[in-house]
Amino acid sequence: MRWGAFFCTSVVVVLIILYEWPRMKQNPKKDKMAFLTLLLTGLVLSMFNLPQMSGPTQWIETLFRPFGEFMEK
Amino acid sequence: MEKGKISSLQMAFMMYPTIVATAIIGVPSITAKYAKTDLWLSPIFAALIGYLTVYIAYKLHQLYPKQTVIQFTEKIIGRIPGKIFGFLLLFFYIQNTGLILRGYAEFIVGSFLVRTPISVIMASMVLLCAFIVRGGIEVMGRAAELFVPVFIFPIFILILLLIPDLEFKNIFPVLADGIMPPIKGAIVPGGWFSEFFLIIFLLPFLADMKKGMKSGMKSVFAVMMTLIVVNLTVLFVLGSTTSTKLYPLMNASRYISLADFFEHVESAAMAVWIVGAFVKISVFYYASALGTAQWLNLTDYRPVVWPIGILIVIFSLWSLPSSVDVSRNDVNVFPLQSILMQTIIPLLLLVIAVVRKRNRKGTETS
Repeated sequence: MRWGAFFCTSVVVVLIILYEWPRMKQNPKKDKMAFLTLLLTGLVLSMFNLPQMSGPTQWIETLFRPFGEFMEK
Repeated sequence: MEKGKISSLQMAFMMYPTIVATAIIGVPSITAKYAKTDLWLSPIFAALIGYLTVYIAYKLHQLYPKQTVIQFTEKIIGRIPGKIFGFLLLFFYIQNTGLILRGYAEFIVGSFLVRTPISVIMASMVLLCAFIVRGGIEVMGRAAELFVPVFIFPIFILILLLIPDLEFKNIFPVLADGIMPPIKGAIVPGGWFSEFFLIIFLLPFLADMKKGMKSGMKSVFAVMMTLIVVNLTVLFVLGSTTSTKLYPLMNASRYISLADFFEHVESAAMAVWIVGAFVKISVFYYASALGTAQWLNLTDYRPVVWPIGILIVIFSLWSLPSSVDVSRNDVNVFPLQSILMQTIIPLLLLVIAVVRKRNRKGTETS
């Protein structure tokens, strides 16, 4: 848990909502849902200690290990 | 969704820094690791992937004009597989925008702004790119038209100023170990050339669609020539030590010292390089945002621009504790991932689409 990063991201998310919400009044509900879901994903992920956490980038590296070994030679 | 139109020249201007901006900064030393003194031959082989990718993208575009790859894959391979491929492609673009952003920020922090927190540099770049992506494709096209000369001209001047330091004998021996080392050295730049597949997000918005292929090919040729010239310059200045440098062109530019007046030009080179990175990140960002909106069948891509900016920053940090991991990813993962997602799978899509179209024509005539 890194409170500093989480706090900064929360501020950014609030600013984005304040900036974007009045402009997407006419957009259908689906757009608003996608907007809020993506923001929430970012907010939740910012709570973790990301650099040390295993994630998709590392999974892909494991998947491509034979290629990596070929390139290391 | 996107009502703007760009010219084919603007597309070429957008694609040129999209490849060159990061390719001239770190790739020469990676190439030198495999190709030794033949590193100037590698871009020629790597450019073949670029030509192939532009050809595939243009042919796919001809079969399904007015649509981007996210929309027409559903028509080619069916709804569910199309959605899966779309997700993988979008994931690839968002993740790699993060990696490019991290590479850019590591370069700035490592060479110049040593005491600035890396997140500040990344966030300010994403903020800038988010504004231009929200502006739409026309704004990006014009910005590229304005910035690319600003980007090319100083590289040209840099190479001219380096002429007194060039040691032309560094090029020997040519092909001492046969043709294989330069081909292996071409794998990593090949991953960069594969990024030309991004034109598939720009082709539907061209005002002069017929010239799309021609300007794409011209852009590949320009990138190839730039990389050859940069690799040769780096080789002539640094010689066999090229592979030990992290940013060889930056090291080479530190050699410039003309009449006790032109010194420390590397800071000017950095300022210019930021312009290139800005165009590069915004093209990737635009493809991610437009693709996500089309994948979710939204009415507009602008609402997702800011949330994707946050995701890009998250991906630039996620499971990458240090700059070593970033450069290892560039060598061990990125080339294969890039060529697979942007050249090989689109080639399969093109084959399936052509076969299906031919079958349909066959049933219609019988």
